[in-house]
Amino acid sequence: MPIQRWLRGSAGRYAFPLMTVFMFYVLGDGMEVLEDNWLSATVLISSAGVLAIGPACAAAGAWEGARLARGGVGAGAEVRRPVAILGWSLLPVLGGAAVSLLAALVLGAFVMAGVPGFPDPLVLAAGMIVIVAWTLAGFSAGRFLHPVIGVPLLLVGTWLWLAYPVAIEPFWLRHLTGNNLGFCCETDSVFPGHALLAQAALAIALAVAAFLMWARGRTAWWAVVCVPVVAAGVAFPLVRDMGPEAQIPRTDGLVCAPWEGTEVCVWRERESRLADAARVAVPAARRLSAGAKVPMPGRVTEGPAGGGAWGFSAPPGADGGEIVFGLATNLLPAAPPACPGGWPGAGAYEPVSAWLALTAGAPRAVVSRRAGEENVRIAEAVLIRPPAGQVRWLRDNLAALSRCDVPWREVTSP
Amino acid sequence: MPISLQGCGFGYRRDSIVFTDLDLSFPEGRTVLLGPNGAGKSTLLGLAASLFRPDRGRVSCQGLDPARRRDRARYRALVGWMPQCVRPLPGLTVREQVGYAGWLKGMSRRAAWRGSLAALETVELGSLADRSCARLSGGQLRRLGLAQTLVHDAAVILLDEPTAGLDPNQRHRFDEIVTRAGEDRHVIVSTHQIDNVTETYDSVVLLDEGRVAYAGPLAGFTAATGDRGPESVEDAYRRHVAQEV
Repeated sequence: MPIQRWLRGSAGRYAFPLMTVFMFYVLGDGMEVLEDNWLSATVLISSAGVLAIGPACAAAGAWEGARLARGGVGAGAEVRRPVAILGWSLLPVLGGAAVSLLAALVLGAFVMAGVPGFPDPLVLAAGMIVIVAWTLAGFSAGRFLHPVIGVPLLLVGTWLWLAYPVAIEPFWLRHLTGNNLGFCCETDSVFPGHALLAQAALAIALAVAAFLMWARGRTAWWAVVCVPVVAAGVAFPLVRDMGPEAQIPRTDGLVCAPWEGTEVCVWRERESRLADAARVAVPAARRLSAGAKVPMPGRVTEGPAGGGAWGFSAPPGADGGEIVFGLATNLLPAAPPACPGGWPGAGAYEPVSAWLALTAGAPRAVVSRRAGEENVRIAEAVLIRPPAGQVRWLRDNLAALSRCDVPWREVTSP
Repeated sequence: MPISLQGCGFGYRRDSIVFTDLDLSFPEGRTVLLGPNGAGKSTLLGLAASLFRPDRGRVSCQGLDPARRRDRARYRALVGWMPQCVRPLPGLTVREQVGYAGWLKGMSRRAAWRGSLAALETVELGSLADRSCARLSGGQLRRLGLAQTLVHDAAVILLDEPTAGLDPNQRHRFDEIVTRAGEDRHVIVSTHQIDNVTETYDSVVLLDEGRVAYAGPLAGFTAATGDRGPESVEDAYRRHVAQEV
């Protein structure tokens, strides 16, 4: 039969416009706040696709499954293999899903114009696997459920599974549904590969169980139970200890260049800003090194700091003052200490930030906006003291920021 | 022989055995499968269509055994199957459904689409090719089912009670089509309608309680017994079933 005739009778014909409109609605505001990297755009598109297209495809699959069941197809006298029958039935539905995702990627390409890189194929592949799995689940359910029940059940049920775990605890649950990469990724972050693997494993198990259920009927009940249980056994340990967000610090993708004896590195997406960033960051590091009496770093980088490297950030739109402020405050401890019964050093954070930023050469207005005017005045009171006193004040308060037994001191005696 | 069953045993459950040791070779040409309700006619056709797999024994057609994976597709391509209830596929036209049936039987999409029109002409549904399947009457649906078995040029077609529920005119029309369809292929039809058996079929297989009560030419089925002349099909049916009971 000509393909256009097959398309005409398929549920995909009706599901396609609905899923596309809903996906662009879900994409909505997200496109306006994308980070300057393709990974964030890919994750946004994939997550919106999974959330909008997944339920629509599951419902369309339920309709197609019920259609074949009502027509007596799959009773057992066919020459075609079950996978061919299923594939031919779901081709219009999944084709529509792929076209919708492609349209979103085209929109993403316009929004990301000028940002180097490409959509992440792994994220897109995982999203498509989740969509295919739910389509198969709907198709399989359609064999046993009347469409009046099956279609709304799959539409709403799939949406609940994809949308709600993000709003509830435990956290690991949200990392299994295939939608939680939606929180990823700032330019200095990437998604953890094991989260993607867990989602894909569970989705593949769902697809396999659904296919067996459709192809072999109730005799495959063991597969419907065992395959997802085994997959959950594989996936759960991968996400058990994850927090609410699926992102980890990025470690590769830096572009580096020497600048006045110091190596300066930015993310490759910001390569065009390397010279401007270096022109600001290296002198600031030199001033900070002298003021705080710490060794000049060999490297100033947007990537992982430590070991002779200082961190900074030069996102699009950040001016020199912001870059300097970021460089200076990167010297603060990354995380507060876990203090039972309160943290006496908490008050040191903003004054020390202000002192570091002013010492590095950040404009007073920027420091005042970021750290607060009161803290700027404390920092200025420290800055008029002799250098040795300033260094002692800094070291005491850095100790207060990293320990539970050291209180912070506003101003120390010279 | 179109299809033969050797030593076949089959049951839907342990406590629902239909056949224990069935040996049967369907005669060539047009064969009518008769038997009381529950005799196993539909199950026998299901085994012949490879819908079911025998618990023991063997089903074969032209040396192909559907229980063997390597033979299954070729066997199914040889055998056309029309269930008791022909159901329309929502969203498809009459021709599309027949073309789809051909594709399911292993034809290419193009060949199935071409063959669908010829099959519909054979069952006198050519004029309704573009009508939605859902709008067909009961009699038209049966002819649609027959077209689905004809589209892939099966060597044997199995029809399970194709005229049940049809009015006499529709039944007569369907029998005429079956007669024509059986000119160049084997046709096995299970039915309770025995009023026109002599005009339509060459052979009879009579099942009773899972056993073959008679299998052979129609003439032998109705042949004279003792001092009585040839019987009607109905009398012969009663005699054979009564003997078995």
